[in-house]
Amino acid sequence: MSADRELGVSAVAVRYGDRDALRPTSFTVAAATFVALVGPNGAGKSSLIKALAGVVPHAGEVAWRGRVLGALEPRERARLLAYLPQSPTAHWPLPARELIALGRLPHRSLGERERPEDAAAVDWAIDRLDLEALAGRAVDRLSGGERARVLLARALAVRAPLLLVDEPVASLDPYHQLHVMEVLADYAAEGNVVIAVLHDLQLAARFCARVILMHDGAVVGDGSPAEVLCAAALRRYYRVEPLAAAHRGQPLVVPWDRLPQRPREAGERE
Amino acid sequence: MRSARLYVTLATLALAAAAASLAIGRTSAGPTFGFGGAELADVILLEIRLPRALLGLLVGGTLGLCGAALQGLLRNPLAEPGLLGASSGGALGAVVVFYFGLAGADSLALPIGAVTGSLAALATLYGLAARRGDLLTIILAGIAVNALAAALTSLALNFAPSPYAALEILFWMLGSLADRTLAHVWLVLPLMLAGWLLVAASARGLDALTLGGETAASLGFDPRRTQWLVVGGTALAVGAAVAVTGVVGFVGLVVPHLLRPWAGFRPSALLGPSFLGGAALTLAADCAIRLLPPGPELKLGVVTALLGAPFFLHLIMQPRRGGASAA
Amino acid sequence: MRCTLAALAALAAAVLAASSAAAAKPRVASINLCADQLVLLLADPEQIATLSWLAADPEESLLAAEARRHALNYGTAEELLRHAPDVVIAGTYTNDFTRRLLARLGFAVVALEPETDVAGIAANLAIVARAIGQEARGERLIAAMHERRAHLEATRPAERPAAVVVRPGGFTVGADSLAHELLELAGVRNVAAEQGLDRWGSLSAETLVRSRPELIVFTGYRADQPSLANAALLHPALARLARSRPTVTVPTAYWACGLPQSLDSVEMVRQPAP
Repeated sequence: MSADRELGVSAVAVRYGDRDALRPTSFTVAAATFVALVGPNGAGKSSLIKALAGVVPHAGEVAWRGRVLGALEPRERARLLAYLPQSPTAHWPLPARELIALGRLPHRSLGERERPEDAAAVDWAIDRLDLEALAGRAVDRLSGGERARVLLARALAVRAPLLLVDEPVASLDPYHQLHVMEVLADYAAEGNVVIAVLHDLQLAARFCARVILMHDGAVVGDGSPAEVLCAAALRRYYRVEPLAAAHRGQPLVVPWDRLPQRPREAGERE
Repeated sequence: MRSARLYVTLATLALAAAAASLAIGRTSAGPTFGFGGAELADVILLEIRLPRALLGLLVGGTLGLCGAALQGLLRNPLAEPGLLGASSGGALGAVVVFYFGLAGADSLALPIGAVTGSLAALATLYGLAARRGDLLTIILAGIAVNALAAALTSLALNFAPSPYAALEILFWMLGSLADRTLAHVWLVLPLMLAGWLLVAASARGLDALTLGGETAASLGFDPRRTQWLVVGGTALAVGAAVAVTGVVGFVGLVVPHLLRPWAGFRPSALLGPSFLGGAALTLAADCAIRLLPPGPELKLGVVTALLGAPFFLHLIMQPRRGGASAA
Repeated sequence: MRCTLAALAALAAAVLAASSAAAAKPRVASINLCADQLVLLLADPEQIATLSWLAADPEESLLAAEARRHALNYGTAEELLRHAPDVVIAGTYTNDFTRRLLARLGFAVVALEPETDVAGIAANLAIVARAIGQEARGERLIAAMHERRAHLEATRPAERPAAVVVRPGGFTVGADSLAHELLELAGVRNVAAEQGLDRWGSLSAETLVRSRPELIVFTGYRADQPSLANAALLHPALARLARSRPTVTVPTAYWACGLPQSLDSVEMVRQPAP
């Protein structure tokens, strides 16, 4: 594997019962890349990202810099990747700072006091996501959007070189959606790999250098936003007609109309 | 409250309660603060009061610790060993061993029987509730397991050799620290220690579970491993406690709840303080029993139930500050 | 003068002998109702350190009045330590923890099996008598009891009516119990035993009625206090039977423990109210 390929995904597949949620998938990702994982509902995006995070059983191998993640000690793997699920929860009303500090668990040993680098990581995450004012408040006293940012800060605080986030901007207002996308892009630019499942195609197109489009459990598009999120792809896989528009030379990806249900072709799954 | 200060305060309370327990005795005339004169003082202190105080510390600490751990595991403040069947399972195990003549009250077979019963109960609970894992399922499973243990215990009582045997078992189950010996302390101490160690090992996993099972796994803490550490540790420690004292309930529910305002909501931060708080509370209740007017001594389990059940109701009725999701 | 001196000396010797004999007898504590009553029958009053509180309750004990003259205990080791007895009498079902602690503290603990027949009463009398140094009195009581028993057996009436014993809670007495032997002595057939009940248990109201009893024996227990158990006594089927049959009420205290006085119940059963 060449030196600049950090993440190697090899024939990863996920089955739930008798249903193939993700068919064998392989790709690699270079360092300092912000990847958007897009596709209609049920395409297998969450299954893929969960398999990468190692939280669901899967076939195939996920390797970071040549080391297979599944073969590592759980703690070591936890230092290499950080995962934020869809609709993340906090079961106890901890103060925001304490919740974010949970991200440092993989780095700390039993009974150890908080080390300066842990405090620094937490502060950095708080600063990045503009949470200073909220740091002392209990998470159940925050709004949905504020809570979402706190939980993302927890994932950032791990300072892992591989960051996997599933719909990180789903419950945020436009200001904070843009803010979070900037934060994720900056994090990738520092040399890390960030893979985010996104529903907002415009955000994906604008902030991500690479887009992986999935449909029906398989990857059907992989490349730059312009290549993957072209009008033909949107019509075929999302069944929507996009606006033809551009801003400052960049094409916009704005689904505008729903397309009528087209008759199923032979052999095609719903 | 800074954690060092909290620990010191609670340790002081526990020691004070232990000292009180050593100082309070009970005769036919009611409570007494003496030691029966010079010749008896030695014996009364070392053979009667000391085991009682030590067991109060150990059993109370176990209940507090395991209550806090179970609440952390189930991510809900309404959990405790008694509600989930650990105590009634342990009692059933002890009754079976006792009833089939496998052991007298001093032999190791009794705590082992109790630990087995406790483990069986908790494993059944997990088998019933683990798939869905929401609080309602868990509480219903706890009801089911408790009902099953009670039914099997009733069965044993039904076939008891005499009404006196049935009464003896019933009274034992009400929970008491009275007239236990140092032999009982040495008997249960190794099992309790093993249980405490397992529970302590789950501490960081419990913190990680604050974020849900998947995130905890991504942080390097397999939820199943955390679960079995807590379940196994609780079965060992609570089972051993039940073998010696019968069923003492609600301590594990009340103590973590009382301490959260000071220790915070993070599960690992509650474990140590809950141990000390549980010890203090149990010893205090045991002292209170001995301070009542003359008459047959009230059972400890009755007192903790009388205080704990209304507290439980109050907890349920309160609008709960709890988990929150980002959605 | 010489006679008076001799008489005085004899008197002094007798007093000394009596007091030293009393001083030599062990102090006894009892923590079980049945043991309490046996101790009251056998021991000199000065020997008795303490009895259980149940002994002073007339619903439980036939010797409640005598028991009240002594210190009462609630069965804990600490109380007993303070009374400093030489021997402790308990039952085999008395709190195991207390018995073991007492043994560990160095007390001689004697545990009595519950009495299931007259021979059992004699056995326990002998055990307690030996434990407290009252063998002579024990032998006298046992002999008197056996004599009375023989007399009751000899005067047993010829006809043997079927009797049903109704205890609070719907319980009755089976074959392997003191009450059963006393009923046999009284000359009645215990229907429950004929139905196969061997120790304790209950028979349904229907079973009781179908057995066509000619005598109903009630055991009275705290009749003035409301209880579910006592309510069972008044099952309508039994109430109807009771209206048309002779009945007798034997206070529970006669059968709860085995004492020579328990034989009084035989005479009660032989003279039912019509």
